[in-house]
Amino acid sequence: MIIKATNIVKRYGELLALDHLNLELKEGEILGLLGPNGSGKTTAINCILSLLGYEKGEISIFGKPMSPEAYDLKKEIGVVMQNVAVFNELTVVENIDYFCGLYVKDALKRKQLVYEAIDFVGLNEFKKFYPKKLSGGLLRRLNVACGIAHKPKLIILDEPTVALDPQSRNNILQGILELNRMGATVLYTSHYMEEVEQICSRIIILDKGRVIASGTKEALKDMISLGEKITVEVFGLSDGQLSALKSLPNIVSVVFTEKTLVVKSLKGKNNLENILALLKKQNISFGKIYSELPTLNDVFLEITGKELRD
Amino acid sequence: MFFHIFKYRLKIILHDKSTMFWTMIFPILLASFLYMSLGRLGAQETFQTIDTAVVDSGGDEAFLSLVQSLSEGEERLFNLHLTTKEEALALLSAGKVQGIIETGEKMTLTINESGIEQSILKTFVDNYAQTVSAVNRIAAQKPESLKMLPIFLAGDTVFLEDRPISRAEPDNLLIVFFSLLAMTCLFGGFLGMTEINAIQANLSGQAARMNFAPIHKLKLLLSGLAAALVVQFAKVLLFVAYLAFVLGIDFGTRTGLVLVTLLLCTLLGISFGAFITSLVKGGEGLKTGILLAVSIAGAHLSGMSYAALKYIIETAAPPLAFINPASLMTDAFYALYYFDTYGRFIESVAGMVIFTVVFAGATYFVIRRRKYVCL
Repeated sequence: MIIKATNIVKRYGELLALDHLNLELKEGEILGLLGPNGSGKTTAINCILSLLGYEKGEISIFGKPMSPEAYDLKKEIGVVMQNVAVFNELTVVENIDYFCGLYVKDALKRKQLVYEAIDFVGLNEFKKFYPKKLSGGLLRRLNVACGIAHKPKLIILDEPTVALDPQSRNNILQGILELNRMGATVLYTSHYMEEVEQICSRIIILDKGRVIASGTKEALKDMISLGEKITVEVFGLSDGQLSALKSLPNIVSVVFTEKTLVVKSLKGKNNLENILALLKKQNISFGKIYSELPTLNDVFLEITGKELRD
Repeated sequence: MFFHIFKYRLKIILHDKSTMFWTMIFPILLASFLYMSLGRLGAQETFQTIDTAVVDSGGDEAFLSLVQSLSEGEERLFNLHLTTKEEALALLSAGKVQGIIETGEKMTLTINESGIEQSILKTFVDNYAQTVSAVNRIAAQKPESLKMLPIFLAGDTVFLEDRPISRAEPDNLLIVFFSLLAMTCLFGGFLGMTEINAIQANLSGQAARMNFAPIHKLKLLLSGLAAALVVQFAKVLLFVAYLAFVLGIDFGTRTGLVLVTLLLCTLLGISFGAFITSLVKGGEGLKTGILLAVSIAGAHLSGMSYAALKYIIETAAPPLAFINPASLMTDAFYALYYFDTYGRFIESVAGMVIFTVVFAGATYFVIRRRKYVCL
C-alpha cells in the first residue's frame, strides 16, 4: 500500500473539513479524488503530507507512519499544488533546479534530472524565461516540472489543470499518464469529472469531507439507477404524447423544452427502441437522436441531490 | 544542501527590485537630501569674523590697542573699520558693519539688528567696561594692589581643567546620519520578512513546497538568513562608503569596530523583520507597515530629523531610548566616533545583542512548528 489514511478527522473551528476519511492508494494506481470545491480534497492532501495537523486518525505512506520529520518518505514524494508555486526571480531551469536540489544533492545527477523534466513538460524553448514571461499553460507545466523533477515514486497532484485551456489541460493529463506508465503511483484531485474519468483507474468521490462513493468509474456508475439519457430533436409534442412516453417501461423522467426531448431511463436493453417505436406510432417527426451513459456528475447528483459543479 | 539554498536565495533577493530600492536606493537619496539641507545649516553655524566700526571719541588708547590686536591674524575676532561717526553710521546702514563701538566717557555700542554677532559685540563691550571700571576702582581705593592686577586678570575663569574625552570634535550632525544608518540597517527587516515568507507554509505557496521537501526547517531558515545577511551587509557597506567618501561623514578612526557594529546592526535588522513576520498575524501589507513604522519612527527618535531629540528622549524617557533599536545603533556609532573609552559603546552593543537574540529566538520558536492548523 502506498498511502493508507484511516479515520482522518480534521476541523477548522466549527467546520468539519474531513469526516472520518478513509483512503487507500495501491502501487501503480492513479487514484482520483473527485469532489466539488470545498469538499475537502486539498485538506486531505495536506493532512496526508503532514502539513496540516488533524484531530484524529492515522496516515502511513510506503507502510511507515507519515510525519513532518519523515524525510526518508518525503524524498520519494512529489507534490504539484493547485496554485503555481515558483519564484518569479528565477528562470525556468533555475526554479526546477532549486526545488529538485531539495531532494537530490548530487549536482551532476540533478542537472540530468532537471533537463529530463524540462523535456518531459515541453519547456525546452523556455529554459531561460522568467515565469512572468510564460503563459498560464506554460506556467502550469513549470509547476508540474518543479514537483516531479526528482522522479518520485508517489506523485500527488492537487487540481493541476485549474483555469487551463483544453490543449494545455490535455498535455498535462497525458503527462500524468506517462508518469504512471514510467512507474509512479499517482493521487490526483480534481473537480473536473471528465479529467478523472479520463485518467484515473479508481475514483473516490468526496462531499463535505466524507467519502460518499469509491471504485472504478464503471463500478460507480453501476451504483446508481440511471441507465441512460436519450436526447431527441422533436418538432412538436402534445400532452398526450408526453404521457404516452412517460408510460413506457423503465422511464424515469421526460422533459420537453422547445425542440429537445430528454428522456431518462433505468437500466434496460430496449429503452431507445421503445422510444423510437412510440414516436413512429404517434407519427411524431424527429431529427437528431443520441443516447448517453451516466456520468460521474449523475452519480454525484443521485447520491447527494446536487450537481458536482454546484 | 545549505549552499544550494543559499545560492538561490541570494539570486532571489538580488532580483527583488522593490526591496533593493527601499534598502539601498532610498537611504542614499535620503542621505543626499539631508546632507544638502543640514550641511548648509552646519556651515551657517561656523564662526564668521565680525565687521565692526570703532569711533574713537575719547582717546582710549588701551581699547584701541585691544581691538587692533583682536583684528589681526587668521582667527581674528573683528574686521576693524577705524572711522568717523558719520562714516560708521553709513557703513552700519549699508550693512557693511554689524555694530559701532564709540569710545569716550562712556563706551557705547550701536547696532541696528539682533543676532549672534551683535550679541558677541555687546558681551565684549560689557566685559571691557566692567574690567576698566574694576581697575579704576582698585587704583582709586587701593593703589598698592595694582601690582596684583596681572594675576587678577589672568585668573579670570580658569578653575576647571579642560581634558578632552576624545580626539574627535563633537558634532550633532553626525547623530542625524548615524540614525539614518540605523534606519537603513533596520530596513534589513524586509529581507528577514522575505525569508520567513519563503519557509512558512501558511504564508506562501513556495514555502508550502519547501515544507513538503525532506529538509529540516532550521536548515532552511539559516541558509535563507545567511543569504539575506550577505546581501544586506553589502548594501549597508555601500551606504556607509557613500556617507564616508561622497558626503564626507566622519566615522572616526576605529574602522574595525565600526565594521563589526555594522554587521551586528544588520543582523539585528534582519532578525527584527523575521520576528515581526513570524509573530504578527495578518497580511504582508500590515507587516510591511509595522516594519516601516518602527524603523522610521525609531530613527526619528534617535535624532534623524532633529539631533537634540535623541538627548531629550534619553533624559526624559530612558526606557524608550533603550527599547529603540535605532537609538542603540546610533549610540554605538557615536560612541565609537567620539569617546576614547568603550563603556558607552559596550552598553549599546550589549543592548543590540540582547535584541538580536530575543528576536531570532522568538522567530525560531514560532516557525519551528512542523504542522499547521490551517493554510
